[in-house]
Amino acid sequence: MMLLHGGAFSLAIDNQRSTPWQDLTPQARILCVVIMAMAIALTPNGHWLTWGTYSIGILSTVLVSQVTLSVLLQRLAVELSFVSVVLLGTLFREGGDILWQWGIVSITTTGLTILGSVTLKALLSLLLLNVLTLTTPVTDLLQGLKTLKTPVLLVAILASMYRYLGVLIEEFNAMRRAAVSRNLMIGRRWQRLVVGNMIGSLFIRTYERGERVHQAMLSRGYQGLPFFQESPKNTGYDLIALSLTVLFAIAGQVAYWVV
Amino acid sequence: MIETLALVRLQSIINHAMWHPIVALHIPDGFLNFPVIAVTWVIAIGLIALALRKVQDEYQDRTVPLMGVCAAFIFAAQMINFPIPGGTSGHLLGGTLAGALLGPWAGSLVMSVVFIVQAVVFQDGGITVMGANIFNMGLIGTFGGYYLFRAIRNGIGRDKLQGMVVGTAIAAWVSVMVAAIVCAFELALSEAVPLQVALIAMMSWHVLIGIGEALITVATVTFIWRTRPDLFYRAPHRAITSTPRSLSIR
Amino acid sequence: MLSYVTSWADWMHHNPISIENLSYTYPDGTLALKGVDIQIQANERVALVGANGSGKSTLLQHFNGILLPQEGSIVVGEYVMEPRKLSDIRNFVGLVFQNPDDQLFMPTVMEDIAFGPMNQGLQGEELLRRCHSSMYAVGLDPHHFGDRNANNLSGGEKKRVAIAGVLAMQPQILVFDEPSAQLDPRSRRQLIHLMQGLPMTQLIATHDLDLALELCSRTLILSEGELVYDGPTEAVFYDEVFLQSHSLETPLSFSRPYCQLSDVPSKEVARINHDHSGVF
Repeated sequence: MMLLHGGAFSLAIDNQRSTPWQDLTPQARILCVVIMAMAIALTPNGHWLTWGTYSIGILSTVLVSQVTLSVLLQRLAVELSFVSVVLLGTLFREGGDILWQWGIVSITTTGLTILGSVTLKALLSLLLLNVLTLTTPVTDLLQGLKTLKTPVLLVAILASMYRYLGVLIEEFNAMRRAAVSRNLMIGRRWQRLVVGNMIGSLFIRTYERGERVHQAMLSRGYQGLPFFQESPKNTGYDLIALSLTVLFAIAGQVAYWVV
Repeated sequence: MIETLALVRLQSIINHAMWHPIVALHIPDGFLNFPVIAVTWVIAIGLIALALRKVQDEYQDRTVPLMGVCAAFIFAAQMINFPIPGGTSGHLLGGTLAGALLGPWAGSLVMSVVFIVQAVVFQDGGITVMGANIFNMGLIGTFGGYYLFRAIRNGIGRDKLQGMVVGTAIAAWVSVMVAAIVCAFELALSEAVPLQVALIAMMSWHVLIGIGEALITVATVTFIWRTRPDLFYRAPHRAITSTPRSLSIR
Repeated sequence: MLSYVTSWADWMHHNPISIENLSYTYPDGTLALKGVDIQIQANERVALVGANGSGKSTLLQHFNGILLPQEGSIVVGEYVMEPRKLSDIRNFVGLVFQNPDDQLFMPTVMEDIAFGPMNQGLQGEELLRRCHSSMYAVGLDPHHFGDRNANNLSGGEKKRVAIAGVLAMQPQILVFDEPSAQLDPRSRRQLIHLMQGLPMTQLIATHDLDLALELCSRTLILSEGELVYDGPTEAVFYDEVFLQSHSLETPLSFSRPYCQLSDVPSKEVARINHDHSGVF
C-alpha cells in the first residue's frame, strides 16, 4: 500500500511569500491558469512557436512566484511518469515520411510531431497547475471556486471531502496495521479477502461518520444551506493580470502566423 | 539515511507509474482536441448539475456531510493496493461500487467530486480534460455500471447475495472496459493516438484492471451485505424492515 | 477569558431542563429509554453515568432535538421540544460530541468555529469577535490557531476547538458526550479546568467516574433505559453493590486504597520508630 498523496496536507508550501503572483486573489489565479491551460490545449499540433512563447510566460511565472524549485521538479517527475505511457501511443501512426521501421511498427514524421506537441502541452499545463497548487492552499482554492460561481453545494461537498480525506486514510492505515499485526496479509487470496473486508468496513464507518457529522452540523444550527466566509473581493490588479493573460494567450497564437 | 529516503521516494514513483497509466482513465491535459473537450464538458456539467439537484432532493440537509465523506471514502479506497491474480496489483476505480452503495445520482456525484479534487489538487488527470474524465468514469462507469448491476441483480433476485455478487462483478468489469474503450475513442477522435493503438493498449490493460475491479468490488459488497445490508442504495427487503438507512431526523 | 465569562453570566437566567416520562423505541424495536424523569436547575453541573447501551446517547440526542420525544415531554428553557422550535433549542443547548473529528467538519479551525454563529446569521466584525472570544475561552490563540488545518491538531486541541465551536453559539446549556475520551492525562486535566470555568449549566455523560466526581455534585445513573439514581455523586460512588448491579465500577480513586501514597509512609514510620526505640 502506497500513500502517494501523503504530502496532501503540506501542499501549498509557497503560499506565504509576497510576490506579484501571490498578490492575486485565489479566483484570479485560478482563472489565469485555466485560460492559459485552455490556450495551450487548443493550440493545433506543430505550432512550436506558440508554445515557445507560452513557455517563456509560464517559466517567468514560475520564477516570479518563487516556488520551491526542487519540490516543483519532483512533482513534475512523478506526474510526467503517469503521462509517459499514454504519450508513447502517440508515436506509432501513419502519415508523413517514415523515419524508422521494424516489421509493421514504424515511426513517422507525423508521429514525432504529435508526440512532441502532446508532450509540450502536457508539460506546460502541469507546470502551470503545480504553480497554482504550490502557492494556493486548498481552502483558498475552494473560496476561489465559490467566487467563480461554482454551485455552493458542490463547493461545500468538496470542502467536506477535503476535511475527511486525512481522517479516512488514517483510519484505513490503522486497520491495515491491525491486519498485518495479526499476520492476515500473508498469501494473495487471503489478502484480497482482507482488503475487501477492510474497504467494506471503511465504508460502513464512513457512512456512520457521515451520520454523526450531520448530527453535529444540525446541532449547530445547520439547515441545509452551507455558508461560507466572504471571499476576498476582486481587485483592479486582478483585472489587469487577467487582461494581460488573455492578451498573452492571443499573442502566442498570433506569433505562429506572423513569424 | 538520505539514500534510504531517496530510495523510498523512487520506489513510490515507480509504483505509481506502474499502475497509473494502467488506470489511464485519468486523461492528462494536452491529449484531447476542442470538439471532444467541449462535448464532454457540456455533458459533465449537465450531469453534475442534475446529480446535485437529484441528490439534494433525496438526501436534503444530509447531502453535504454524506457526499463529502463518501467522496473521501472513494478517494481513500482508490489508493489501496490490491493483488490481482497473475502477479500484478491493481487499484479500485470505484464507479460500480459507488453506484451500488449510493445509487446512480449520488454515486456519479461522488465520483465527479473525486475527479475534481484529483485534477485540481493533485494534478491526477488534467483540468481542461476534466469533463472527459468525469464523462468516462462518472457517467459511463458509475451510471452505466449501476444500471447494468441493477438489471442483473433484479434478474437473479434482489434479496439474494448471489444477485449482488454476480451483478457487481459483471458491472464492475464491463464498466471499466467500456470506459476504457470510450477513452480510446476520445484519444483517437482528438487525433492524439491512432484508434487501433489506443484500443489495443487500453483494452489489453483494462481486461486485467477490470478483473481487479470486479474482485475488490465483490469482496467489499459481500462484507457490507453481511454486516450492514441496510446501507445499500436498494437494500434487500429484510434489511429495510429491521433498521432504516438513517436514524437521524431533520 | 474572564471578560467573556462575566459578561455572559449577567444575562444567564434560564429555566431548568425538564424531562418528563420520556420514552424512546428505535424502529427495530429496541427500547432505549423508559419513562425517564429529569429536572436540572440553572448553573448545575450534572453527570450522566451508565454502562454501554444504557441509553445515554439516545438521551443526549434528545437534548438537542436530533431525536424528538416519542412519548413524554422535554422542556428546555422556555421551549417545548417540537419541530418548529428546533432552531431556537439548538441555539439554547450546545452539544459537544464525543469524537471531535465528527464535529470539526470544516477544513480550517476558524471556519469551523464560525459555522454555528454564521447559521445564526452573524457576519463580519461581529462574527469575528464572537469566534475570537470563544477561542480565548478555551485557551486557544485565534491568531495562531485560526488558519490551522483541522487535520493537524492534537487530540486535546481538537477537543478545545470542538468546544469553542459550540461556545461560539452562546448556548446556555452545554451537553458533553464523553468529554475525556481519548485524551491524555494532561489534556484531560486541562479539560476539567476548562469545564470548571464555564459558567453555564452542564450535563456531562461519561464513563470517567473520577471526572464526574471532580466536576459534578449530582449524578444521574441510567441502566437499561431507566433512570435508577438521581442524587449526590459521592454517595452513590461509595455504594459498590449498587454500582455493580448496574454494570458500573467504583471510581479508581475509591476502589484502590492500597495505591494511595499514605500507605507507604506508615511502614516507613514504623521502621523509624523501631530504629529510635533501639537508640533509647
